[in-house]
Amino acid sequence: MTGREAFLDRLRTRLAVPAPENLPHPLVPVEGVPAVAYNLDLDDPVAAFERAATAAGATVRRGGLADAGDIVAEVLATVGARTAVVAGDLDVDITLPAGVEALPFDSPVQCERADLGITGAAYGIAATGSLVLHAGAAGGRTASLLPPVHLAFLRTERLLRDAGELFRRLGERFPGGLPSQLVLVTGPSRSADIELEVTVGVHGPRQLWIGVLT
Amino acid sequence: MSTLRERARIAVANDELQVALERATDRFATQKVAGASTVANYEELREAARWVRAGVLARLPDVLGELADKLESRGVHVHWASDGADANAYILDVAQQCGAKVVVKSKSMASEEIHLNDTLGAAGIEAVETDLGEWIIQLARETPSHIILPAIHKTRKDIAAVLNQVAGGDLSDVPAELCAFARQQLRAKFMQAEVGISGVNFGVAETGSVVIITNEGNGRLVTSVPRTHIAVMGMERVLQTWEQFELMLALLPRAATGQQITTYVNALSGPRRPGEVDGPDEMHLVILDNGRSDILGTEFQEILHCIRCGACLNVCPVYRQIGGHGYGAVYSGPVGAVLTPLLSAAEEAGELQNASTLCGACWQACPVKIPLQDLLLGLRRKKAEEATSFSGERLAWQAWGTAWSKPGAYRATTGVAGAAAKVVPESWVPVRWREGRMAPRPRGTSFRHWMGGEGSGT
Amino acid sequence: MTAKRTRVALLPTCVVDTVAPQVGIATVRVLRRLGMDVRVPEAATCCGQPAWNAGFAADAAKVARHTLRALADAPADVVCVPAGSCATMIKVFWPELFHVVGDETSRRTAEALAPKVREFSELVGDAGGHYEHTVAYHHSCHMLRELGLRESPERALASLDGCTTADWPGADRCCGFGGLFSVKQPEISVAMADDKVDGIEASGAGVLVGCDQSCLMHLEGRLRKRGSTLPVRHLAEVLDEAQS
Repeated sequence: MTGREAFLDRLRTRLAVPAPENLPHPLVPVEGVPAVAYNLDLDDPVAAFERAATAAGATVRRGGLADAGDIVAEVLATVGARTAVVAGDLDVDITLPAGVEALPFDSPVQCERADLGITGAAYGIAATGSLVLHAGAAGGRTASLLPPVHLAFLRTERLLRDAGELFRRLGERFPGGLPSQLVLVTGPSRSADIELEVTVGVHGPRQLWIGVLT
Repeated sequence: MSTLRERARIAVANDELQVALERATDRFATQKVAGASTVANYEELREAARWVRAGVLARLPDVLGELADKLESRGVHVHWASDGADANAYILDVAQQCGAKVVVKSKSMASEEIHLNDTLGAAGIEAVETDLGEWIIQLARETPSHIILPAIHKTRKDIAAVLNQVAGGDLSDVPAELCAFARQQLRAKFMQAEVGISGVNFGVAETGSVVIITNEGNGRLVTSVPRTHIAVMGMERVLQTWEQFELMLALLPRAATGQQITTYVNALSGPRRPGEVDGPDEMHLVILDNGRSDILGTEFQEILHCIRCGACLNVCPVYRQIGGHGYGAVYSGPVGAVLTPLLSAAEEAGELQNASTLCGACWQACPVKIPLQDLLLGLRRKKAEEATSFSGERLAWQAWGTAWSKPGAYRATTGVAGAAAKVVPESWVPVRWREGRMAPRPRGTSFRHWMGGEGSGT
Repeated sequence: MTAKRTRVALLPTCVVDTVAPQVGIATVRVLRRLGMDVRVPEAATCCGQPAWNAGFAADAAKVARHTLRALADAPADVVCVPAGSCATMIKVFWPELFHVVGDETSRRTAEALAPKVREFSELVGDAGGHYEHTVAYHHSCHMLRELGLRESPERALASLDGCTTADWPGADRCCGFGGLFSVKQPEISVAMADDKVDGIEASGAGVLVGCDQSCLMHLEGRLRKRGSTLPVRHLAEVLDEAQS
């Protein structure tokens, strides 16, 4: 017998007799999986996204497609970045100013060298202010992770109301199967491991900028 | 090993620990209320989550089979580990095949449970914990005192002292500075490591995915930078669908820290695919039994519903006094008090069912509504059944049961037949009561005497 | 014709019988003032909770079965228990206790009895009276979390002229009594009591009030050991004093 068969056979044997019912606190059958009802104003998803992302510690800029360059310039100036990796399939037009070195995104090593990572976002989630990124896009796993600052551009038509709109329709959103990694990013990297005091940037980006473009 | 009482004595006498525990548990209480308030149907979600977890366990062989099939179709190696030794041997073998000298780890209670770092260390492989709290604990050569905040028992001064062992005494105790130092040190390890080892918050069978939920981002680094990723998952940590995951994701961060969502929710469905620029070339999933299957089919099965949020620790009045180390085991708090004796036969572990007043605060905080107090009580029954017929406690309860099932004997032993309430002689009150508390002093006449006289009538 | 009086079978509880007769007396006086016909079934002893919580189900069942019979046979409309913990034992845990020991007959009797069982505060409504004190109310665990009774004691206290209820941290945190826990783990138990007592003392309250005499006995024992003279009263005693 293989390891798998032996392992699962043992479970089947154990489960042949169902666990006894808990009389004082019995299980209550629930039909289906209820949707999460948010106590949030989600009527204007862009505003809701901005509120939630800002509350999570991200810096949000809103504008049209033509404003992308200005947003990049603001981020570069604010953080004093000298090097940047730019995801190849970004659908907004970015030209890095002179003096900022564009690193080719071909490995984590390049991302590790960069002061700034610029990526797109597959989706945004209004209720939580989250970005949905994945390994199948040209930012890969690391352009949004290794540089100390991450700038993501999110198109408003990619904005979903809540996580349920993503998770309940994954098949339709990724008809070719899930990319090897799919990640929800909400705010900058944070830790509260020292006396519960929140600090940012312990591993991932210290700063998260989001350009929400209409 | 020490007894619960010995550990408790040390904990309650440690003023710094008491301050840390009070701060943590008070803060969590406030944050949790805030987190739950952002969802209108929190109670409905808890009830549903309990039902969902029960359904998954009832179908566990099929759900695990589907998860493994889907992962294997994406090139993931799935290993079925019946116990910790099996899991450790497999992981060591993979690490050695990769020629690993350094392994980076993100937080995994399962790997704590099987003492994986010892196995790797003995083979000359440096296993580096990268969760900030876990790294601090590793450097201090301690064990985690909380499921999600391993260094919660330490003050910033303690932590600065620990990190200064590495930094050579240059660090202040400002958390931001300590974090920046950790980032620099650990980033070098990430770039150097051949293998990344992570835990798993949830497996999702539907698509063959494992999800890692973190705030720091080390869970992303471990699974993105090294060439090989090994995930270690307790066999029960699985769901069938993403719909179920949405439910768990609404509950877990709110119950754990009061956050609406953690910073990163990282779903991995295999190694790097053609056309993807980065990510590991190899991915392994170790599915761990290690005593869990013994719990299936028993009255304790519901402990396997646990999603490791730590909420029961944060509200537990006993945890608040003794902290995680008071439990003397990898898993602490109410969940640890249930899980430890079930997963381990050690005599000390068998004492943990008494580390509770059965107050039920854990049950009310649990996002999947595990009736932990019932499970603790069940463990006490199990322990009592195992007691020999000569055990002092057994004989005492037998005598009590015989006396108090007869009104005459009940009256004689409670002294209620007399006109005056019986003042319990000091010497009858257990020393263990008297040392901390005065004995009760009844006032006036005995109740039943009063009922028969002054209080007679209706 | 006068309206039919509610017939109450009172289970005083073993704590009242052994060390707190004044609580039983106050309970009877308050309920009678509300026009209830209160009697104590002579044969009733204890609910069996001490042994049940220690894991000794058979011994617990022996005692519980005896008290079940006494309460089930009593000619009463309601069974009143002036202790949240014992009321919980009877309403919530008796069916399981009898099931665990294989006594399905008693389990059915217990299930039939459960709807008649009331914790004391459930019977008093807006009790009314005069009580010139600031009160720290201790929410006991079983009463709060198993029976869901938060409002009834608060409402009774709010109905008293002159009475204010202090807002204090940890009002619904366990006091650390926990039956045998208090002697099996005395260090933790006392540390938990200190946590509560610190909160009570900081609240400025002049009286500590609760609905479980066992918690109160533990907290009072700790208060006295610390040298505090803060009065500790069961809700029934407060209402009785407020109405006398």
